[in-house]
Amino acid sequence: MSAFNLAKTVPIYFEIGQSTLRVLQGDQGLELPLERLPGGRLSSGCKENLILSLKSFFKRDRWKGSARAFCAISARGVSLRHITLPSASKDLHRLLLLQIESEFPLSPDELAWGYLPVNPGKAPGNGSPAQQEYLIAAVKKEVIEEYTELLSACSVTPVFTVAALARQDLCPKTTRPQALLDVGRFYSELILFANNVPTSIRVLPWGGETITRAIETKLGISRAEAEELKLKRAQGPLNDVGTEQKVQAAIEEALDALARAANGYVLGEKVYLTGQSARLKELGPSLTRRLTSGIVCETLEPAVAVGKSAAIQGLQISADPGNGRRPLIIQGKPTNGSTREVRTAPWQWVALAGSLALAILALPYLEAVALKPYLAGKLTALKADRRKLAMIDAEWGFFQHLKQNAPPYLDALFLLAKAAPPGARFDSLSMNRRGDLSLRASMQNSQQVADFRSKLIDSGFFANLTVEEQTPSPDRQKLTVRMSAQWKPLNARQALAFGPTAEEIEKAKTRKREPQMGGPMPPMMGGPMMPGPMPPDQGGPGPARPRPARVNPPGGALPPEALPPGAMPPGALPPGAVPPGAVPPSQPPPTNP
Amino acid sequence: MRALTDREKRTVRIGAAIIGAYVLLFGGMQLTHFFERKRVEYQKLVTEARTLKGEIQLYEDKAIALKKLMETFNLDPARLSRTTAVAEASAAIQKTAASTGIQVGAVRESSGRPASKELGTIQMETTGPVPAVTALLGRLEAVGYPLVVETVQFSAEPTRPGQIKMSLTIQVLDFDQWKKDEAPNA
Repeated sequence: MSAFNLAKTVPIYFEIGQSTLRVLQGDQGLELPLERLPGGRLSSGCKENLILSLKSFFKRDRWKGSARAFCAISARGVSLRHITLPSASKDLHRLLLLQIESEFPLSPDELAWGYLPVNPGKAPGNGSPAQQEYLIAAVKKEVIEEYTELLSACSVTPVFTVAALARQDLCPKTTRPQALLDVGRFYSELILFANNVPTSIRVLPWGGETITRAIETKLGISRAEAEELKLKRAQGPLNDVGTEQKVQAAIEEALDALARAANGYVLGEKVYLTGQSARLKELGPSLTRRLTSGIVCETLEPAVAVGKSAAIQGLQISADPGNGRRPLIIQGKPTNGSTREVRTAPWQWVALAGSLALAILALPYLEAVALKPYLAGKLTALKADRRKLAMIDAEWGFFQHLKQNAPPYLDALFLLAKAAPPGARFDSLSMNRRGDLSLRASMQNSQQVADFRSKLIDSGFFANLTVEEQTPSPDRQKLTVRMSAQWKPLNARQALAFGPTAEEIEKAKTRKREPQMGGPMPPMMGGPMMPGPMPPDQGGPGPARPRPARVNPPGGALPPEALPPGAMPPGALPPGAVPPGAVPPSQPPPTNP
Repeated sequence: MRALTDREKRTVRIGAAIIGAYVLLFGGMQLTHFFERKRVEYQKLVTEARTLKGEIQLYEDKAIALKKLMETFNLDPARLSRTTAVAEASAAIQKTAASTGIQVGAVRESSGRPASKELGTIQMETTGPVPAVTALLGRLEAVGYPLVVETVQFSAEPTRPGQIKMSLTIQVLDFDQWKKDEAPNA
């Protein structure tokens, strides 16, 4: 059962007759006798009994608050009027009050009344405004107040309508005039309607008790015996032929009185019969014979169950919102005639709000109790996995060390090759991780040495550069040079860019494709000891170019396979450059005198 | 048994109400304390979990950069075996040298110094053409072992024109030394 269903209340249906009160809630029904004072009010003892019986019947949970109840009251004391008013929605209530004051014998303050618009409104004509017809039902206010007081004591909030109007919903819809006669115990209620609109309600002083008394008189038996015979007769003809004839005659006499009373009204084409006494099989045909010619009586099959009646069935139909019918609601302070939403007691909402508040307060505590073991387990697992973080730290530090200690040998080689003057020859070159570089080379003259040195300094790669020794050869044709240098630390070198430019790589590719152009030596080489060709627009290493972002560690070189075909790794010697001590095989030995 | 008088019934009722209220109050307080304690413990755990989450988030970026470095160096330090790393590194260097067309000469290995966080040192003499020699120098970084070229020396090879001799001193780093350094962080 959902919470919604818990809060939902089952509607209750009441029929408050003259001598009986019928209740239906769901499938449970109850019938209680009513004891009235001569003025029609309920006796105090009757009220007490009713309250006790109804409370016992409902057995409601107090927290659910009041249940809504639809009550059909007897037609006794109810007046119906048809009033036509201009379609003025704003002043309708005031206009209705004025009409009620003029049409009814009591002032509106003394009446409980309700209204319902009937028939489509009349369209405005020449000079006349649009008009709307209203059906007004009114009863003494004290009647409604008495019932309201009684039912409120049983935690029931009632809305009232007229039982005869509710019964009308059981009749087939037709535009022809019809009537419905509900045969009660002492009285019968006759409602006449045309075009499905009630025209008048009458209470006839004829009921099941009339038949009983007729049998009692005819057969000279007690009332109880007469009632028993009547009930047996309702099941079928009696076995005793004499008694049967007498009972039949008594019923016929009683029906004559009813027919006389009914024939005084315009009954229309058909009269529908309801009520317990309508179960007498010959009631319909016998009444048909007695009524004005052309009027047919038809019994509506009443539901044979405690608490069920034609009025309650009609109420159930009217109360169902799916039917689209608007019952006429009688109230002390009438509204627009539609069913007012029954105010439900706030108990269920208070309980719901209280539960929610309690849930909000309890949630942090319940969360702690419920989720703590799970969270603790998860944390333990995470802490156990924390060793992986230490491993990441170790690996990170290791790679950083590896990266920072990778010496830029290839960068240094590339710079030396680019700065080497034509005819230079390197005999030995040594470098170490700490950045010390020493070389021994031979060059043509001191100017070449100075140029070589200045180009290396201009590259920005070296922090200091020393020509340790510069000795001319005995024939004065060349100089033997010993140099030492120290390259700058990593931070200073990071802004520099080394390696061949895109143009140089492209040129290298072209040379590879056209080997015949320069023979074994690069065409630009002027002498056997010339290093590789310089970029035409650069003349030497020069100042550093803006360095593009690089992935490799400083001083590192891309793996050869990562380069385009024919390209050199950064820092590699350009083609034709003379490595230390190397002599190209095709070159003639240096011309030494 | 004697029936209780109205006064006695009233006394019993009041007594029962007082005892009931006391039990309710006492039990309620105990229950409140219990739940409050649980909530505080839970809050501590939540705070701890949040701190841990923050720490782990810091490592996410580091892990990505580390993965990239591993790919660049072609090296997973955790898989290195301390006992065989020098031998395997030496073999890998010689294989790389051979694949680039370099002739490998004398190779000498010496055990490393723990102070300098190295497993061993490899001294190697190679001979080959200039492009091959420079290519080897470039490829040493990605042979799959933690190598640092300590010294490099080029000299002429008079017996083989067009080729140069390169002497290398290479250190093989000991990853375990870094693990020890980082241990306090665990």
